Amino acid sequence: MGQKRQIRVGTQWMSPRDAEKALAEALRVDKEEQRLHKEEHHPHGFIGTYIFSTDHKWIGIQYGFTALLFMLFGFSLMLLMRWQLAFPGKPIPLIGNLLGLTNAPGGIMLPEFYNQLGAMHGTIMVFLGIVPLAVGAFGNYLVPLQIGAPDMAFPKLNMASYWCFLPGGMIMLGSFFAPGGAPNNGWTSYPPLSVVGTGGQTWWLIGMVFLITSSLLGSVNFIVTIVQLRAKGMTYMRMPFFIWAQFVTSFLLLLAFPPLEAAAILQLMDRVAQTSFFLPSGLVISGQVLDVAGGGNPLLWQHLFWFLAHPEVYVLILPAMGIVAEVIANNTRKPLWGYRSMVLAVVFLGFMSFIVWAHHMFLTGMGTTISAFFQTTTMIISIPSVIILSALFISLWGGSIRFNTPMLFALAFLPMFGIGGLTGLPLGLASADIHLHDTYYVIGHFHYVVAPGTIFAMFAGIYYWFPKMTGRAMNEKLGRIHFWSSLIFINGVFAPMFYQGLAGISRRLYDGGAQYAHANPAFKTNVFMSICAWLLLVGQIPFIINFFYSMFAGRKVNANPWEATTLDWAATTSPPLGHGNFHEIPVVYRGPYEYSVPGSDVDYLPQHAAGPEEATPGGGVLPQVAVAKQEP
Amino acid sequence: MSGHTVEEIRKETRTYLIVFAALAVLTVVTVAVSYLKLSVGLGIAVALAIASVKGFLVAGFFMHLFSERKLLYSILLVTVLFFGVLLWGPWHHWYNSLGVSTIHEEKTKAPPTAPHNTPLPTAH
Amino acid sequence: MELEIPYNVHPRPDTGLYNAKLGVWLFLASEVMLFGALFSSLILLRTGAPTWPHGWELLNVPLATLNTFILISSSVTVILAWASLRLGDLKKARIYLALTLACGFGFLIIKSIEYGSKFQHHHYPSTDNFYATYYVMTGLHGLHVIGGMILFAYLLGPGAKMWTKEPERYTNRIEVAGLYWHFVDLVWIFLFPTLYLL
Repeated sequence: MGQKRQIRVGTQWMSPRDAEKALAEALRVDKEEQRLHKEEHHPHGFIGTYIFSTDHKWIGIQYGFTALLFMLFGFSLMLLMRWQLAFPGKPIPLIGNLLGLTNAPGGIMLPEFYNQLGAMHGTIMVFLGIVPLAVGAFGNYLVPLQIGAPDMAFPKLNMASYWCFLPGGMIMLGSFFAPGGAPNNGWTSYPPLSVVGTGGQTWWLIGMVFLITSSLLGSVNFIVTIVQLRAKGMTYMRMPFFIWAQFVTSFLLLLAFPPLEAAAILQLMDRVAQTSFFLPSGLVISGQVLDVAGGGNPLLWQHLFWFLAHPEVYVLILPAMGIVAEVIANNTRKPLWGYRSMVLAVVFLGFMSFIVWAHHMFLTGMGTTISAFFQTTTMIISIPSVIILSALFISLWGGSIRFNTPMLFALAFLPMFGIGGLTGLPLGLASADIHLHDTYYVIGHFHYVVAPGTIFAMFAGIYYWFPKMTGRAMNEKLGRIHFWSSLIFINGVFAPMFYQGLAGISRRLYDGGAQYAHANPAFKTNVFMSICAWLLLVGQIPFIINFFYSMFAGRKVNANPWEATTLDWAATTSPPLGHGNFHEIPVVYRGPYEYSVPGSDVDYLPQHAAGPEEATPGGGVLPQVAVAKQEP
Repeated sequence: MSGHTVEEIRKETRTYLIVFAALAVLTVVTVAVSYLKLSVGLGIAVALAIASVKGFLVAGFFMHLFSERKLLYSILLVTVLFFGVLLWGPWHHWYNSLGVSTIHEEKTKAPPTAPHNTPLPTAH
Repeated sequence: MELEIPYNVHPRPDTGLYNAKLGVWLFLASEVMLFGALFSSLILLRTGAPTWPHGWELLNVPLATLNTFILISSSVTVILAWASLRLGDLKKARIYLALTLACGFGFLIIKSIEYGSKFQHHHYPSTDNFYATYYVMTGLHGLHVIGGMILFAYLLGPGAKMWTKEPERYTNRIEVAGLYWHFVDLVWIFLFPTLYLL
């Protein structure tokens, strides 16, 4: 009975006091290990990893989610407008009474509110939707991966760029709550209306300064990354076409945005400091002469605005062409036809885009000399677009086509962009533009390029790279439903617009042309178009469901489910944040589209995999086990 | 990057000081010229020419563009081109507008002679 | 665990540039377009106006000439700072950086004297387009001067700690800041005759 109580700890027997000490020590060690693990894997904490991330992949995802949300919002603004166009003067069902007395008393949309919706729809889709998605999301995520870099050249600047974009977007949305409401002067913000109009325009201008800053930081980052951080062996002519598209796009953003920033400052001064940069002398508004110094020129704004806004439309289309090129090459199992021509064309296109802007101003009283100049450059710029589109079409010839969802969207892009581009030609001819300027023909033209054009390419990109970002595939059945409903209904919305424009219906009319007797037959198509627009929204539901469901419960895939050649598919599935992109930085041995290479035993040769001829000590190996040469 | 040895860096420093002197002199010249009250066109041309020389010196020596490689030149050349377009475009539009260049033409043309006094046909 | 970005400090062989240098030149290219738009606006407004005063009629040429000398001097001091760093002399470099900062202050003080006297005589941006363009162009330039001074204050102060651990990276930072500052000087070299002497 003299034995002291003993407690067994592990393989040892010890006194209770010692056991307590041992337990405390064990707890301490465990806590320390957890802390070290956390530091190693999440050195920046939750906020540093997910809010203020400097990892290009997460920033790309941030841009993507934010842009898609903005796009959905911008789309719903248009759906509201389409009610007014189809049934002018009738109360909006369900939500009409929630819109406020100043906007829609009794649920009937006021013309002032219609104009606000129109201006914000355009602004949000272009600046908060497409560009952040095409450049901020896809560009940020893929550029370092496709060139074999560990991240962007300036990760902190990248983070700053997103955090200029988001506040800028919120400020723009805040304009709805300014006195007088959101801007009502079109996304083009022409003075004098934009100077004397609603209070929201000041917010628009401030928001624009944020967005331009974000864009500037981003474009510097992209260019330096592409020039300086290409992996060994990645020459310029071995870069995927997507990279070339982003490269040219970044130059457009770099050099074309600053004049709009200057113009925004001047318009802000006009609004806030009563200057007269854009206000002519003796301007009469509502029967009263405006009390300003005068001497300004409204056309000055138009020049500065369109100097940006024309290159901006190429910013909208070039990344889309890049995505389509990648998806087509991969799903035809053959190289792109005319890669070299496409590269030269896209560089030439970028250059030309700076000297065509006044084709938006043919009806401002321009003399014949200057009209002829811009008409000529506009006709010339259609050539590189045709070259790129033709090369993509010809790339299909003799291909072993896989009709998966990304490929369906990429294939649809081709004729849709074709229609958009071709309908731009009469607009670029000064004489035809006299009839078509500011009509629905213009709206049809640019929507064809951006909506079934760029947005379809964005969808293709989402379905294509979703497995890379999440490690899971999206559902093909839902993808097909999404594709067919989008294709059918989007054409239903925009095709009749060409007819309406030719019939003479002007754009930005809150009653859709009802007051023009000469356009009455064309006016009747508005009901059909609006129904198609609402059904188009319904068609997006399978996509939204698919997107979120597949993120958690989609079919798991390996790192390269599409059997692609480019370096982004050499990275691990869903590359971890903050740890670089590759187990080891790849070396590039060949071009970006080495599919079905004659004489090769494999169907595709990744850029980073050394073949038997190129294998160096420490070089990579072919993805499949080297197939032994068959004995004849 | 430019020279690495101590001697080369000291030589560069001397160049900077010479350029500084040149810039100071050119500043005095440009202000002095403005007192000459030259005609509008000539005044603009001279002022911009002097400013361009000064800018050239700053860019070439202080920003050591003269010792950089082609890549930077090509980016800047493209930028300068677009800068020129931006300066020219709006002005030329205004100049070539309906109602502006015609005014200029009218001022330089000879005044129209009076038309013959052809009597209008009267209804009889 | 900071990611290792290639060519952050040492130049990439085929371009001869390190990342920040290419970055700052691209940024300066965008600034050329920004100020270019303002110059273009000035040209359009001035040529389209029935009358437009000469700069020397309404603006203080002697003060602006002094400002021009101040900015040119600050350009020299900043490049001498960079040269000193390449010779390994941090002390001298800090003196030159402090001189650059002092020149910047001088410029801004003279500028505020100019603006102040104009406000006293009730010449505001809203007075007419001559004053509007004058205020906007010199104002935007002045904001860039302030931006540069904040940058130099940082590099002179807390930023100088980098010299002890990564001297080459710090030298690069001074070079990049210097390039920006030279550009600010360059804009003034064109702004001064355009606004004051024509």
